[in-house]
Amino acid sequence: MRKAILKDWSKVDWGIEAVPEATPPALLKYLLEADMWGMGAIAPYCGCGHLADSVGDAQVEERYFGVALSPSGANHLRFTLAQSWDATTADPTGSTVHESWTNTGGMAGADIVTTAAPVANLGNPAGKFGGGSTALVDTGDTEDDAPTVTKDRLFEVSASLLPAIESCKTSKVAGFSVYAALMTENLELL
Amino acid sequence: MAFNVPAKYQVIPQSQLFSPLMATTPLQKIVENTNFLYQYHRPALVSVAPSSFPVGRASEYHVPMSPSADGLRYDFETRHVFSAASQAFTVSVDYTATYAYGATAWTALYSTAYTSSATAGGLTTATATAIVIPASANVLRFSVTAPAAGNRRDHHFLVTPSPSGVSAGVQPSGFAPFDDGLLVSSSSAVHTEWLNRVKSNVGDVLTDRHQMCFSFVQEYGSAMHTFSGAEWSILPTVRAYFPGQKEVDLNFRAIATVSAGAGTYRMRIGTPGGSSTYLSALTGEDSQFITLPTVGTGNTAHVDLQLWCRATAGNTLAPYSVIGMWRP
Repeated sequence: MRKAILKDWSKVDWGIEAVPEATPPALLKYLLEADMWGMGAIAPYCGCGHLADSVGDAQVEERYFGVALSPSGANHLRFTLAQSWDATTADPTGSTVHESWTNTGGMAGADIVTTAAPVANLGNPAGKFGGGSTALVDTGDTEDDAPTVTKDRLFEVSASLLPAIESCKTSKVAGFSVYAALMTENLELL
Repeated sequence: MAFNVPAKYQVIPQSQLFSPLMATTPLQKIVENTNFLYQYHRPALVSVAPSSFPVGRASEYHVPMSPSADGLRYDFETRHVFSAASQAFTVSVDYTATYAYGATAWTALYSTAYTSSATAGGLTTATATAIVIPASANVLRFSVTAPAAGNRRDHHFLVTPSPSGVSAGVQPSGFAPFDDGLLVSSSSAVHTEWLNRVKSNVGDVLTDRHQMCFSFVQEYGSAMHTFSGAEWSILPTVRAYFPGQKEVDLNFRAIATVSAGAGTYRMRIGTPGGSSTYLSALTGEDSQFITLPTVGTGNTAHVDLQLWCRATAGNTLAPYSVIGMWRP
């Protein structure tokens, strides 16, 4: 049972050799440490914080994007959405949820992940970009890969030991970022 | 004798790691995995979601970034939505080593023609692969042509490394490829060199490939959001994730102009209520470094980032591009 290792790189001095002795004993710890460097390097990449306006127009409130996935065996993602609103402005499309998806998880019908807005009458984010009320909200943490109705849940991606780019969409946001929420428990099986 | 790159990352079962006191077979895989990392460590060099109105004109975006010292190939994916179906358009990307706004001398990386989705309002993803970005490149220019009918909105630009493989010799990044002939025999000597090379190679690859951790980009010359007056305008907070990190050294860079007045200290970026750094609207791009602590643990370790903008009294600030880069 092996999982990707999350290593705090800020504590690593790359200038120090892993084995400072020229002729050390053949200790198992050296082999384990050598393996650890690679297992740490395949950990999920940083999740870029995108500050981006969803312009106040029904056609363009959606935001399509791609996310680079590391070969870490991540199998579910979660989005963090930045919201900006003016509660006095009517929602131009009448929806009070963010609609999001990943290509792997499906892009239509019940596969769409719906995340509630913090106010009943979500305003046009564009109108108050740089002002008004703002908040950060995470999409759902429930694992349900075959929903029968739209709900707030984790996003599926294909676990792999190769890097990939996942096509995604969200809507009505003033910003967004993505992180790997669930990892494959045993990378030996991939 | 060859520089073998595994088809996927070789996860070594614990039984193979713990059984031998020191054997060549697991070590061979471990060192080969550094070749794998060289080819397949592909974090986003550029990940920007432009803020722009739907436009019927050509647009360009100027994006600072820090490419690999090895002059690697990169793949480009740009996402667009056109209000009319099947529109012809061209995406061009240029680079410069010395940014000077409108006076910048650009060098072409690629220019490719595409046709948008056959469905009006459908997503169009335009890709260009195996584009070499020279190590000297400092800023990229993305240009997108106008559609013949309707309007266009630029949703996202993604640039990721795509090295063709591992080359002989020590690379400018410091990476030293592993020749699989050196440990192929079961009785090969296990030199400390192999153990040390694993760490150094991993460090060379990770620190050479900067990852974009923050982006706020607007159409160059026609910013959707400008900021007037001397008071700070606070933009919405966004969250950047740094899995496993306790603190991160970030490099923030900005391209911005002021209509008049002083250009210094016109932008401020950092954590809400915490540390921040100032960026200026200068004659070239501005660049500042800051170390920030993360919040949370494991995959959820993150930094909340907030951008503040201001001009001077009676004047206007147009921030065209504010980005953050991180490397381990």
